[in-house]
Amino acid sequence: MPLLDVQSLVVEYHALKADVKAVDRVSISVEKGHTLGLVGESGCGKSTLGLSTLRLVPPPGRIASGRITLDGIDVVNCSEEEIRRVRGKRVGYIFQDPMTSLNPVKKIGAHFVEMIRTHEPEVAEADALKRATKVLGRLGILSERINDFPHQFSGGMRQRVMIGLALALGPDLLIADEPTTSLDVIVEAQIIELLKELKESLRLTLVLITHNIGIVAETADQVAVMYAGRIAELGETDGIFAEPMHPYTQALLNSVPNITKKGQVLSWIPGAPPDLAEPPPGCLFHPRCPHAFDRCKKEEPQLLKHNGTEVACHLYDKR
Amino acid sequence: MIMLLLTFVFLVVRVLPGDPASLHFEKQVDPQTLLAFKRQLGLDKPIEVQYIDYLLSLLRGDFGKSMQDFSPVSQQIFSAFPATLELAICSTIVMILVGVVLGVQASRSYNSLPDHSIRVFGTASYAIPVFFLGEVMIMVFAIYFHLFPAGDRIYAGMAPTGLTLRDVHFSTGLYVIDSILEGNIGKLAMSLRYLVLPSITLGTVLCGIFIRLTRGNMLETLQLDFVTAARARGLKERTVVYGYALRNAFLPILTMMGLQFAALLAGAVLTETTFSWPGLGRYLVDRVSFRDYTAIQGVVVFFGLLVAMVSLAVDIIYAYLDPRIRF
Amino acid sequence: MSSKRLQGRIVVQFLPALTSLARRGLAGWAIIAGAVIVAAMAIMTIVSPWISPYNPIAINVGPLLSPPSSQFPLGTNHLGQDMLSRVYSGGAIMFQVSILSVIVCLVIGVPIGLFASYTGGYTDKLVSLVMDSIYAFPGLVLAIAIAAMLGPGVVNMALSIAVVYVPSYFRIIRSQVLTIKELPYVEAAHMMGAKGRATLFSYILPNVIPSIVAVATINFADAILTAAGLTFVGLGLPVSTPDWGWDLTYGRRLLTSGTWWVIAFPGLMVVLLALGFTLMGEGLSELFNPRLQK
Repeated sequence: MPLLDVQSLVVEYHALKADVKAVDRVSISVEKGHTLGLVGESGCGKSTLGLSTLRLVPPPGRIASGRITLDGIDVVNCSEEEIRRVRGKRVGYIFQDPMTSLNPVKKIGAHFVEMIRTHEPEVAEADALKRATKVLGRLGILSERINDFPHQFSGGMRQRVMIGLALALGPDLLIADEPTTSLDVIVEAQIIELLKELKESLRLTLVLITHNIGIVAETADQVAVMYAGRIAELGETDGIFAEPMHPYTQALLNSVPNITKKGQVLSWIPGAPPDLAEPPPGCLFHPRCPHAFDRCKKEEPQLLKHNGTEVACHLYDKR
Repeated sequence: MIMLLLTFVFLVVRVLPGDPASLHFEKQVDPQTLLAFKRQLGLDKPIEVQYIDYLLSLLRGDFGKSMQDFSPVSQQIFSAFPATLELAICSTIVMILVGVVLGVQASRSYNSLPDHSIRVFGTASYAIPVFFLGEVMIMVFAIYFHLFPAGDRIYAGMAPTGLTLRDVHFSTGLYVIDSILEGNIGKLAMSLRYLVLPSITLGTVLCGIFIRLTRGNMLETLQLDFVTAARARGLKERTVVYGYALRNAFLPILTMMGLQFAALLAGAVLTETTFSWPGLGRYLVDRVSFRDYTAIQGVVVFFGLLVAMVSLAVDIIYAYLDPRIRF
Repeated sequence: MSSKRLQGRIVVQFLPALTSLARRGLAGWAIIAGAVIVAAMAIMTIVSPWISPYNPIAINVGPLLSPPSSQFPLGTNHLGQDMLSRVYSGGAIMFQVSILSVIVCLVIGVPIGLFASYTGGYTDKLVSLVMDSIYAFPGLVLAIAIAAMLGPGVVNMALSIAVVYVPSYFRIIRSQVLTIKELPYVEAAHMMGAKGRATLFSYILPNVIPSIVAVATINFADAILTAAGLTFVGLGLPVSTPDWGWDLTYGRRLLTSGTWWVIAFPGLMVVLLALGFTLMGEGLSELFNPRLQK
């Protein structure tokens, strides 16, 4: 049974003109020990998807329909107390910007103590601090720094603190929402290596949300490409990188500059993501798609299996 | 600014009616008696001299003499002040408690029925004349249910006397504190009982703006990343809301408290009258009915000075707290 | 144009305004609700001479202090006056006082506000200082002081109230003028040779009007409450005029003997009227002055 199973999830935001579907009938499934890479542009709904697995979508957004099963728990319908107990303890969440995600007036150690004692009230403060020091040590943070404030750390260190917080209670699932976006390239590489190593040693199940398709290539078993709230392509990493099928996936892969190709013209995807309040008819990508044809303007493509990968594109729909 | 205030009050009371002395007497009074009366109160001097006298005596803490019996107004002011102070403090507590809690609740159920009803309540509560609410309170709780007393500050003769150490006598005039100092639980309970209705009345009428302030502040803060991150760590909602988000609202609430002080005093006037609470407000109203213009002047000046002092204090506190809070 | 056509036209123009208000969320509904309440009470007061079953000032029309009954739906007071009739017509004074005080505020506050903030410099500083001093003072206390000096009467009450609230108008106008003064299109007008006074009237004033309306509406509510407060304290009008404030004040004394209806109904009326104006004012404020401090 998959550790995380999302079925036809729809997350809506109630905007002035209409209801915007930030996530539109998305289904993903992650087996224990596997890594899923969730890729897409800013605003495609991947962060919302991540937040919804823990029912953390802030209002005015809400989960409109669908099912989310997290290690047997029905996330959508369970009680507030049940989901609260899952958060932090069975699922760790890493946020994009550690500076704004950590409480600026609280010491690092205090963050850990608060969290540990919320889930395990019998633990004494001193013991909680010891556990925190151990976790942070594992991540390369010296023990004397446990009494420092978030602003006293560098970006990379802060992100390690976040990872530490996410892992402190020994969760099975780790959701990392753009963990390296606010970091420079070198630190980014360090953090990715760290995540890979932790994944192995702790046997974590990992959902990696990012717009950087390069990171996904080296860490994920499975990749889901999202566009405008829907899944465009879903399949094994190797398969997708070897033979990307959806035009959007192809464009994404093409837009990564290759250092070996000399004189390469940087390619990009023309146009902009659609206004979800007034989405275009048919396939949401068709205004920007180089292969769009008649059917694309009228009919929404279904996610269908083709050569081992699921893809939502009329090019592969021979029906 | 204080100078302006003082001058303004002077103008209103001395200059406006033309001759406050003769206004005091309803019937015609012979010029001799009137002159003697004026002389007693210093009202016979030319207006510029009166003005200087007025300012100078204020520096000495002299708020003038009552027209009724020529007793110093300052004496009566200072004996009535603690009652108003106690009422003001308790009403502020009610006002902030109710305002903040309701504001938090409203922000948590954004755009739904509880939110809307709380907002409407906040707006509507201000529209209720405070004395009407007071009368309703009296009607329901004091007369119908016999839960609380209908007026006055305490049962006659039961006033707490504070701390007495050998020959030294220390009392604040605030019954709650004095009864604690005296160690008398009975008097403490009684003082609180008498305080309940007036404080709730005054606090409710003024809490609206705190509801709005807290709600707005919380709505902003609850959107911030570290709130979502805290929730993601499985922290209890109560911890997140009160521990994390409320910290932000703290300073604006404090400033608003200072700004609302004047409104508090104005409301206190009516509340005290309604509940026969022996404070400055009731004193003012009394003096009005007696046409005691010099006393009215004294009390109004006192009110003005009070407000000026409080706003000064708030400014100082704000300046002190502000750089600390910014990391 | 025939009157039916005209009426139709007014309705047609009215409806879209209404629906656009309703769509603005809570604020819009507040304005509509408030306006309905105020209009209803105004109409009630105006038609009171025709719908009152008894003369509101006539005494002994019924048994003294009788509770609400079929003959006297709202009971009678200690003078044997019919409470229902008094409730119908009691609002007249409230309306008069508040309308008068708002007019005075507008006549005094708006020109001063416009002039002082537009001129700037020492004039602005001085006037602001005066206004701030008055504004900081507890309103009712000041009103009491002034009313005590001026004596009873509708005009005096209105004046006392007006003095207390002029600063609120001043402040809003000033903050608006200061913002608008700096806007490019005003500068452009100056460059095209428009003189000071012309700019003031044709550019700045129209933009300030919405805020003035919002303040004025809330001011109505404040005026009503302050008027009631003044009456409560004994500075109101002579006894004969039917007045909710007066009923409230006298009804107090009757409360302890269990006579609740003398104070309850007029009180409710005052609350409703103040509520109506407050709702309107708050709603308008939210729409026009989104971030203004009170």
